[in-house]
Amino acid sequence: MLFLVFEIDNERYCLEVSRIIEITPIVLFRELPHAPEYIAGVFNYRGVVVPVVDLSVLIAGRPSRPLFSTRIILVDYVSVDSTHNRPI
Amino acid sequence: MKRYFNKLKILHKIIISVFVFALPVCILLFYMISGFNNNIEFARKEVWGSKLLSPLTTLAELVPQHQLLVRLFLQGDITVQSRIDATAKRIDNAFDILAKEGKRYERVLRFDIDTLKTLKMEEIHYSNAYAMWQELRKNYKNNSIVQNDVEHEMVLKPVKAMIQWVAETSNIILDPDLDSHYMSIVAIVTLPNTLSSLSEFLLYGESVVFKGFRSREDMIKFAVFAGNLEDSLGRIQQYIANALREDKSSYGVSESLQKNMPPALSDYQASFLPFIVVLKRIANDPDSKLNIEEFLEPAMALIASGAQLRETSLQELQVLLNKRIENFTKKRLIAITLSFLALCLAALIIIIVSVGITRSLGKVIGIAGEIAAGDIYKAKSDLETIGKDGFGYDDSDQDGVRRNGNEIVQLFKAVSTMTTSLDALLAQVRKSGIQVTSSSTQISAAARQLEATVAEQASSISEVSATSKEISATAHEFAKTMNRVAEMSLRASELAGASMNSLSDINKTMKSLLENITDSFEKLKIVNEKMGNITQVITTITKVANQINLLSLNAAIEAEKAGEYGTGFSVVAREIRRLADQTAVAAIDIEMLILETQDAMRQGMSAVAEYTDQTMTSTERIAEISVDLLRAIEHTQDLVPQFESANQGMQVQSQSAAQISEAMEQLNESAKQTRDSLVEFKEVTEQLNEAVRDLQNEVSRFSISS
Repeated sequence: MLFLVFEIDNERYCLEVSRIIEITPIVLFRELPHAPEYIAGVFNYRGVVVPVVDLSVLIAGRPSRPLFSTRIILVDYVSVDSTHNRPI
Repeated sequence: MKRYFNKLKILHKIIISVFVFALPVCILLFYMISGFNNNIEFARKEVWGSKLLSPLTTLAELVPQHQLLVRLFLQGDITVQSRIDATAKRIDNAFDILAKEGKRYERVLRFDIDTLKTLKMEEIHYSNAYAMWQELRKNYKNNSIVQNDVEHEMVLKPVKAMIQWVAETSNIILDPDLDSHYMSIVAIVTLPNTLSSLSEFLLYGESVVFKGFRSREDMIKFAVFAGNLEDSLGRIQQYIANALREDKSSYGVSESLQKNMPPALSDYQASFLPFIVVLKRIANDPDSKLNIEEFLEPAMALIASGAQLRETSLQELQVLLNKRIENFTKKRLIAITLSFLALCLAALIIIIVSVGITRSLGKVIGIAGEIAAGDIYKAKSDLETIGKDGFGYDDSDQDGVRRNGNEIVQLFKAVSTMTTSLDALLAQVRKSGIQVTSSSTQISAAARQLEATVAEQASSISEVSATSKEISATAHEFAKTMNRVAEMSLRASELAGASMNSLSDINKTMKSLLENITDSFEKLKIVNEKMGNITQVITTITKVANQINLLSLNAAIEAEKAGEYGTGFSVVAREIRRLADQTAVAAIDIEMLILETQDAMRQGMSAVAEYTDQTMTSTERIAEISVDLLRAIEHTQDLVPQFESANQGMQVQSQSAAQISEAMEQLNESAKQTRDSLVEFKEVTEQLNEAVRDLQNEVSRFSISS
């Protein structure tokens, strides 16, 4: 069983790898107006438009910092592809 | 002894003096009284003697009478028996009286048996005579005439001897007064002798008459006897007259003497004449006839009156003697009383005087004690009261008191004056003391001020002195410095010239240096660019490493997803990840190094830039400096003569500064002296203060009236 460990606000969380598709570095998003705060926007992943959820907003109450080490975790949502963000 | 005597009080001294004085007075008194006593004793003895002599002389005349009568009896005349017995009785009487009086006075008149024995005169004691008389009386009738005579003689002899002895021992023969002297002679010597010789002569005359005829011898004897009798009468008369005369001038007139003697004497004279007539007849006329009776009668009458006269004179003698005794006794009493009164009076007066003296002295001593204790006010008031009460004078009568007053008053007056002046003096001293104290306080304050001022002055003087010394030194230094500066300026101009050359050299060097530096700068810049390029490359590498990391991660995920078929792939992924990490790390290192190098280069560049700037500035400055130096050299060369004048001026200033310094020294000295004398002055003021305080202490002991 391989787990992916990621950090949000100095707290470590982990995800099972079987559910993860890919990890990408942070990129520029196209913001959605009037979207909830934890929706950071959408971006183009190999030709597919994927929404991004900012986990730090959900967990820590603040948006994640746009650092080089900030990652986006692409997750296989139930029926449709979903993505998560992982701040560092 | 003297110290003891000095310690006694006045009263004691006076008492001792009184005693010492009283001693000779008492001695004199004693002798005077013993003189009186002697006189009285003398007269008493005479009285006793006369008392004794009365019976003795009676005996002396009676015994021959008895003899005569017994002879008559023996010759045959019996009628005389009664007369014999009467006479014998009288003789016995006389013996009795003699015995009685004799017992009383025999010791004092020294004819007791023992005294007489010691004087080998015991035969004259009357007891012998009495014994003889007893014998005679027993058998007188049977005696012969001769025996009769002998026996009577033996009775008479001791009697006569006794008369003589008593007359001596009773001092009658030593009687000091003429009247009693004559009376005693009459009563004790003359009359008894006359009467006894008359009695004896009667015996002889009777025998002659009895015989019947007279021989020529007899007649002569009769004549002689008559003459003697007359003589004796004359003597008696004279003596009695003398006695009567002297009586008037001694112890007052004795009335009994004046009254009794003359009649007795005239009686005697009266009875004298007939007998003388008879005697003369017998003497002159051989043939005249007379009988015994004729012969004896006048004789007896004469004897009787003679005896009477004798008795009277003895009594008068006793009266006189008693009067004398009385007189002396009275005198003695008066003397004793007067002396005693005088002594008491003297003692009283002395005591009063001495008490007065001691009391007055005591008062004055009390006052002196008050003055000594310091209570002058009380002393003054006491003096006034004592002056008024004790001596009764006031201050107005000063001269009179000084001239007439006694020592106590003078002493008192002197003490009073002294107290007044002491009072005034003390008041004055107190006032003066207060003044002196205040003055000295002021002086002391002024002195302190002065001292402070002087101290300030001294300090400022010393400051000025120091300053002037400094000035002088400084000026001196300055002069020296000026000299040195002149020298140095000369040298400086020389050196400046030398440095000019050096400066141009330096300039050249600087320029070449500048070029070099610029070259280095360019090179450094190129290096910097290159560094920047390297940095870019490094950044790319880092990005690549990052992406490889991601890729490896994704690979790992895919490998996992692939399951068993992806194990080898997971290994590969892992390895790639590791490699990516290493690369990243290396890239980071390289970046750090580059950063450091860049830093260092930058620093170096900036330093070089600075250096360049500085060098450029320095070059410009050097140029300016050389210009200035030239000018300075010129100036310096101009300055040298000015330095000389400045130097001279400095020397002059230095000298005047030295003079100022000297003057300041002197001022300092004088200021010091002033301070010293001020200190002395303060000391003296202190002493004065002390003295005044002492004086005031002394004076405060006294309480004065002001």
